[in-house]
Amino acid sequence: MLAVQTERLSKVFERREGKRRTSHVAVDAVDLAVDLGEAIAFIGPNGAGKSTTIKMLTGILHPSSGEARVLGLVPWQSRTRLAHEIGTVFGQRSQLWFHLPAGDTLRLLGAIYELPPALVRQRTGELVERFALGDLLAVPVRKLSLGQRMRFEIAASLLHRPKVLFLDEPTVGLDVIAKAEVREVIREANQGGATVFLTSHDAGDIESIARRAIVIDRGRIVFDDKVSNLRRQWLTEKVVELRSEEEVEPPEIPGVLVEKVSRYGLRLRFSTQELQVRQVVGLLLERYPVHDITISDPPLESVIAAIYQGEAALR
Amino acid sequence: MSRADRLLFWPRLLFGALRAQAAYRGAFWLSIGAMVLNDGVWLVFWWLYFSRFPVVHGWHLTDVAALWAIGATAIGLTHGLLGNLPRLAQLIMQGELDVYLSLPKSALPHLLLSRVHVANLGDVLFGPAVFLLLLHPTLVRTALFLLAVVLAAAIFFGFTLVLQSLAFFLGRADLLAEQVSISMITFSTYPSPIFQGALRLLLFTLLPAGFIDVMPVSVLRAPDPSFIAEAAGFAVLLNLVALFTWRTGLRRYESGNLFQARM
Repeated sequence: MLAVQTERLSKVFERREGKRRTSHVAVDAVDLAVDLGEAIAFIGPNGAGKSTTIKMLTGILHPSSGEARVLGLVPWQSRTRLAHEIGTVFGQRSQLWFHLPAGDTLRLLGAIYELPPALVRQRTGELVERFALGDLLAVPVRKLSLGQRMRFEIAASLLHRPKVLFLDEPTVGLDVIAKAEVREVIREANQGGATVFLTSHDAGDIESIARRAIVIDRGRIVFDDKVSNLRRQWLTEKVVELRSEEEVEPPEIPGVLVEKVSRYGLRLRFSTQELQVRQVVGLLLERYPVHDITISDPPLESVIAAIYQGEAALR
Repeated sequence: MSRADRLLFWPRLLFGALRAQAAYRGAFWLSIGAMVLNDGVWLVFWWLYFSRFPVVHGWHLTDVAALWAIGATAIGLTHGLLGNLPRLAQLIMQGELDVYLSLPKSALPHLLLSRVHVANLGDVLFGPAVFLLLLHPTLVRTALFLLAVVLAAAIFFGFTLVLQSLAFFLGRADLLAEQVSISMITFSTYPSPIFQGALRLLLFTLLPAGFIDVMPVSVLRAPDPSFIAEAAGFAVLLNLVALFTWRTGLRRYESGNLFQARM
């Protein structure tokens, strides 16, 4: 059995602009197959259809056409049954009661998931220890920092040991340390067998959690492969960082973009479709007394930015 | 988990919602007190009126007091304890049903019992207090009062649910729902005989405040089985329509991406 499977899943929103009715295709015939235990990043620019897809997979939205099964269940037909088996975190929406201590929400969620009180206590203890939230269990949610709140949100989504975790922007607004903690816990849940279906604009989330990336743009899947291939296949650019033993003047090589110049250093970018790596490196070695040189792929952050800006050429 | 445990979840949820609103204790009691005072002022107004005109179309001050007792209790139950009912259109428009739809409980009772509207809790206190203090409660009259409250609450509930669920179909229905709800509440606080002709027809169909207006006389003072049956039948029909509208609408729910907290 697959964790998530869709066939030509589509969602069309009707819009009214003045007297005119228009249709907006948010998700367009999406085919997905996610194995149990996989960790996938479902990425794309704002309005690409990520959240709409997740909301259909969790039974929140009904599709306009197509089929979907999550753990063998049709989400919008078996919503409450499926909800026992999945966990959801919507970064923009809190399931914690704003004026009550987070511990109260965890107890209430235990009752919602119909867990025995002893098990709720045990799971709360485990999660609170894992997230280092013990001192905050009795603090009203409104008094928590965003990072503390998000850790409680994720703890709440893990309370019933879900088989599939749908995470929509789980690290939005968090600082570096809080992000690292949240990522680690999601990785642990995945290592424990949970399938992770993650949407995020944060390259760090994608690289540290997911092994597979699915890129959606204007409602259609445009890439589905390993995260490591995302960088290689999407952008045909290389970044060269050079450290010279003498002061440097920026080079003028056709097709090479000088990104940064310092007294002894350069950062250059070029397309491998126009120039070969050995050509560029050869020219640089001829011109400068090179102390150190590094050739790298652009950071995933840049890849994603390029995808979102539509600059990258699709293969 | 046993069936009893599952049923106990709902009062537990309501208790959580009450605790959440009582977090600011001073504001909580002040809001309740203000509503009791507001209702009380209206009753004083009617007392002054009936001290000059003791009978209006066969209605006495006690009938109007009964109308306020029944109406306030019913409004308190439907708009106070089910605090998300009068803001359902707003929740739909802003995509705030997501949290309830992603959890393994029936979404409608879950969201309705997740928030209390503090001011209307004053109505829940005011209504029974008026009945106990001014309307000579006996065992039979208490039973009839409870029957009237259940019927009125069912009509308020079904009517508000239909109205608020229009947001699924119209998009922006919150202002319409608010205006029509205010009309419904306003018309349900006046003696029924003053409404005649087309307005009376309206009050027993599209804006069913007329059923509530009749209750002090036809349920409490001189119980009329045929009216009680009609009111019960209307309440059942209205709630079936309301549930149908809600369920059909839910299929059209579009969600949204506003930042939200569960208050």
